Amino acid sequence: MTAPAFITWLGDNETLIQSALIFALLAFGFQVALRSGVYTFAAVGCWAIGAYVTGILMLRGWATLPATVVAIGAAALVSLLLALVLGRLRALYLAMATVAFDLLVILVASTLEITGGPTGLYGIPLVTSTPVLLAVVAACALVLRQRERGHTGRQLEVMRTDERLAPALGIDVFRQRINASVLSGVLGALSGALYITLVGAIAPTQAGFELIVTTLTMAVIGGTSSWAGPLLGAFVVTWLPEVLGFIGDWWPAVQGLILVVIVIYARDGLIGIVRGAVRRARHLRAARTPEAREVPA
Amino acid sequence: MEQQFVNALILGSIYTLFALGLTLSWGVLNVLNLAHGALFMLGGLLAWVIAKEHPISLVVLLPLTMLCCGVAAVALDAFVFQPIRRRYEEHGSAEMAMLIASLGAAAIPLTIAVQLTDDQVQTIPDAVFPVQSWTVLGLHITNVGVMVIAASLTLSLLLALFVNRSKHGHALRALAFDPETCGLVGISASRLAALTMFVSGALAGGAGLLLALHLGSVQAHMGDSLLLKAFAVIILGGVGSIGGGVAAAFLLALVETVMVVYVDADLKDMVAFALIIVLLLWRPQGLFARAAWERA
Repeated sequence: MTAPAFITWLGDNETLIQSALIFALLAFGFQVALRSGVYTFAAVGCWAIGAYVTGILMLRGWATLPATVVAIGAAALVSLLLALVLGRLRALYLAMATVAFDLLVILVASTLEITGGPTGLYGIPLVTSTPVLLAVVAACALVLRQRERGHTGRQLEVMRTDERLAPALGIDVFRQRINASVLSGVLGALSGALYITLVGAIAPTQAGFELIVTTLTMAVIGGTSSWAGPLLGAFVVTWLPEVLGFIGDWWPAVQGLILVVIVIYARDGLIGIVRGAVRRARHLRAARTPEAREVPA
Repeated sequence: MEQQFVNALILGSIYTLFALGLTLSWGVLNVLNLAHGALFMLGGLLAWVIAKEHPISLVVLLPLTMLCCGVAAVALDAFVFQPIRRRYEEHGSAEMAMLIASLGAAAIPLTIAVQLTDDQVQTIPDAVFPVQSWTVLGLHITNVGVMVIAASLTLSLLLALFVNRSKHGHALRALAFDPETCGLVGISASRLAALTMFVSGALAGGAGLLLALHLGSVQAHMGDSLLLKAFAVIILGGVGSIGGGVAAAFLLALVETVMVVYVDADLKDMVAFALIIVLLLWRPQGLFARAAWERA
C-alpha cells in the first residue's frame, strides 16, 4: 500500500479504529485483572461511571481535562471500596458479584434525574480525536507491559496460577488484588470518559450485560496473558463483521462460536497462537543454519 | 393490592422453575451455565415456532418443548463443557472457562431467535391454550396462572424426590461429592453429567414455555433478566439445594412485589442485584440451610 492510499484507507475506517481503541481500553481493564487471577468485571460499571461523570461535569461547563480527572478519581474510589468490600470473594462468586455491581450502576443511572434517566445524556462537546485515543492507548499499553515484566510480573503470575502459594513467597496478595481491581476500574473509566467525548451521548442500555459479554469476548479471544491480547481482540471483534460482510446479522452467533472455540482449544487466545507460531518458525530457522547441521544428532 | 400477590405467586413459580435447572447443573457439575437463559428462551421460541404453523394442544407441546431443550442442553455439555473438563486440569480455571464459554454458546440460540422473531415481541396463537379467567374472592386469576403455579410446585417436588430417593439421585449426589471416587464405584460421570444437563435444560424449556403462555408472547431477550435473579435465588437458597431454592424464589418474588406496590416500580430489579452482593458477603453458603449436598 502506498502512503496516500494508506491515508485514504485510514480516513475511510476512522470510526472503526476509534471504536476499536475505546474497546481496547475497556478490554485492558478486564485483562489487567484476569491476568492477576482477579475475576472482576467491574470495569464495565466504571466505564459507565467514567462516561456519566465526565458528561455531567462537561454539560455544566467544566473543561475536558478536569472533568475526566474527576471521573477517573470517582471510579477509582468506587473500585477501591468495591475491592475492599468484595475482598474475600473468589472466582465465579467475584465475577457474578461484579456483574451485579455493573447492572446496579446502570439501574441507578436510569432512575436518577442528574444522569438523564432512561434517555441518558447527550450534547457533550466532541473533543476526543484519533491521535488522542492512540496516545492514551499507547500509554496504557506501556503501563500494562511494565506490570507484566520483572519482579511484579512474576509475582502476579504466581498469584494467577496458585494463590495459596503466593503468600509463602512473600507476595502481598491482598494489596496486589486491590491494585489490580483499582487499575481495572481506572482503565474502564478512562475508556468511558473518552467514549462520551468522542460520541457526545450515552444511554444506560449501552453499559448493560451485552457490553460485559463483548468486552470479555475481546479480552479472551485476544488472550489475557499479555496487554497485546485485548488490543488484538478489540480490533478483531470490531473488524471481522466488516470483513465478513456476508455474515451480516448472524455475526453475534459467529462471535459466540469463536469465543467457545478459543476457550476450549487456545486458552492463551490469538496472542498465544501467534507466539506459538513465532517460536516454531524460530526453531525451524535455527535448524536450517549450517552450525545447527554440524551438530551431531 | 391483593391482586399483586397473586402475581407474585406466579412470578415466584417462574423463578423457581428457572432457578432449579440452574442450581442442579451448578450443584452437581460445578458449571455455572450462563446459557441457561438462552435455553429458557428456546422453550418459548419453540412453542411459538411450532404453534404458529400447527396449533397443537399443550399436552403435546409441553413435553415436546422440554425434550428439545433437554437435548440442546446435552449438546451444550457434549460440545462445550466436556471438552473443557478434559482439557483444563485445574478445577478453578475450568469453572471460569465453562462460565465464559457458556456466554459464547448462549449467543447462538439468541441470534437464531432474533432472526426468527425479527427482534420483535411475537404473540403466541390463542389456540395452543385458550385462556380463561376466573374471579375468586375478588382476586383475578387465569387458568395459565394456576397451571404455572401447579407446574412449578409439581416439578420441584418431583425433582426433590428424584435427587433424594431415586438411584440416579444417589449417584448424582455422589458425583457432586467426589467425581473421582464415582468412577471407582462404577458410576459413569459423563453419562450422569448428560442426564443432569438434560433435566436442567428440560426444566428451563418448560419454564420458558409457561412464561410465554402466561405473557401470551415471546421475545428473544426474555431469558436475559432472569439469569441474575436466578443467581440471587440460588445463593439465597444455597447452591444445589432444592427446598432452599423454592423458598428463595418465592421470597424474591414477594420482596419485588412489595417494592412495586409500596416503594417504586423502577427499583424492583435492584433487589436481586443488591441481594447478590450483600449475601455473598454475609452468608455465601446460603440463608436457609447447608447445601443439600456438599461442595468442595
